[in-house]
Amino acid sequence: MGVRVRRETKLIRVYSDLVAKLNEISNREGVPFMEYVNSALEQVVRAHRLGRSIKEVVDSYERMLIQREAGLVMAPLEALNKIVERFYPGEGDLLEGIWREAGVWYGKYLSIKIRDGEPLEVFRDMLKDSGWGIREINLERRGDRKLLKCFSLTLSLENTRLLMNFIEGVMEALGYKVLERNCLRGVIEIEFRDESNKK
Amino acid sequence: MKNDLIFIVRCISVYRLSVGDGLVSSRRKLLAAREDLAEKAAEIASRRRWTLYEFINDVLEEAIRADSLGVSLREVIDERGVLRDARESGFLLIPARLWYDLVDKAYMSLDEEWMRGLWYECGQWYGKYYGDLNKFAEALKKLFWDLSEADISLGTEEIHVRCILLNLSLSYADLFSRFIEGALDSLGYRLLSRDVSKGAVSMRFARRVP
Repeated sequence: MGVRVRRETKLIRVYSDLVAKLNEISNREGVPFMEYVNSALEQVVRAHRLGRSIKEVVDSYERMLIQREAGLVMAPLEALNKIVERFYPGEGDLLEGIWREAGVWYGKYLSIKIRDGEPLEVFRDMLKDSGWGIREINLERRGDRKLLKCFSLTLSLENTRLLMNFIEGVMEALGYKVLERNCLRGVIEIEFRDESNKK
Repeated sequence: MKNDLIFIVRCISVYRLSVGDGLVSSRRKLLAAREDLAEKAAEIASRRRWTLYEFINDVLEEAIRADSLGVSLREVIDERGVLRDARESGFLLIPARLWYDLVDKAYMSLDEEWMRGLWYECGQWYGKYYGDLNKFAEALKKLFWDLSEADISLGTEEIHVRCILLNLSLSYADLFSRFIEGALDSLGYRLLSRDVSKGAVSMRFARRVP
C-alpha cells in the first residue's frame, strides 16, 4: 500500500476529503500538515501501547465531556456513603425522590444530547464509567420488553436503592415505562418497555 | 505549510460507500508520513486484521472527530485516564445538584463538626493516596470539575491555596477547605490561615517542622 519516496518518509493512500479537512485543521492550528499527520500517528501508537484503539479513546473522552456538560461532578464515595448512612434511616423516601428527580433531568439531557446512537446504550456505558463500582451491566431484550441488570460488589443497600431510583428516572425521561423493579445489595433489575412511540 | 502539500502527489478517482450518506464521490490522495510511524501503524493494522489504508483513514477520521470536540488526539490521550483515576481513587460521578443538596442538607441537619471532620478525613486520605503536593494539585484540577480556578503556589516558607468554586454555597466552601486542610496535613503542612466565603477558598500553610 505504501510507496517509499525517501528514507524517512512513506506515502500512504487516504481519502482526499479527509486530507482537505485535516489540512483545514492544521492551517487553523498553525501546524505544518505533515507534522499534524505524524502527531496523529504518534497518538495511535501511544493508544496501542495502552491497549486501546484510538476510537475507544475518543469515545471515552466524548462520554466524559457529556458527563461534565450534564453537570455531573466528582464526589468522594466515602463521604457520600457516610452521609447516606446517617440520612437514609429517617429520610429514605425523600432521598429516593431526589435521586429519581435527578435521573429524570439527566435522562432528558441525554435524549437531547445523544443524536448518534441509542441514548440508553450510551447511558449504560456512562454508568460503567461513573465510579459506582458497577462490575457488569446487561441489557436484555425480551420481546417488546427489556431487562436492565446491574451488578456491583461495593454498593451498599442504601446506595443500590438510590441508584435504582436514579436509573428509573433516566428511563422515564427516555420514554420507557418501568414495569418491574427489584434490588438487593449491589444488584438492580429493572424491566421496562419502550413507550416513546405512544406519546 | 502549503509546501507540505507537495507530499500529496497523486490523486486517484474512486467512489466509496459512506454509511448514512449513500454513495459519496471521493478521490484518494497520497500523503507522506514519517516512515517509522507508518511502519508501526502498518504493524498495528495488521494485528487488527485491517489494511493499512482502512486503518489510516479511520485514524484520520478520529483526529477530525477529536477536533470537533475541541481537542487534539494528543489531548484526548493525555486526558484518557481521568475517569479511571477518579474511580480508582474512590470518586464517583454524581449530578452536581443532587450532591450539593445532600451536602447542604447534611451540613444543616447533621452535626456541622461531624461533617467538617468527614471532609478533613477524606482529604487526609487523598493526601496520603497522592503522597506528593504536585500530584495532589494536579488531581485537584483534573477531578474537581466544579472548580473554576485552583491555584496552589509554593513559596519558600508558605503554600498559598486559592480556589474558586462553581457552587456558591458557604457550607460547601467550608467543607472543601476542610478537605484541602486534611490533604495538606497528610502531605506535611500545617494550616496558618483560612478565608472562606461563598464560592471561594483561600488558605495559607507552612511546612510542619519535624
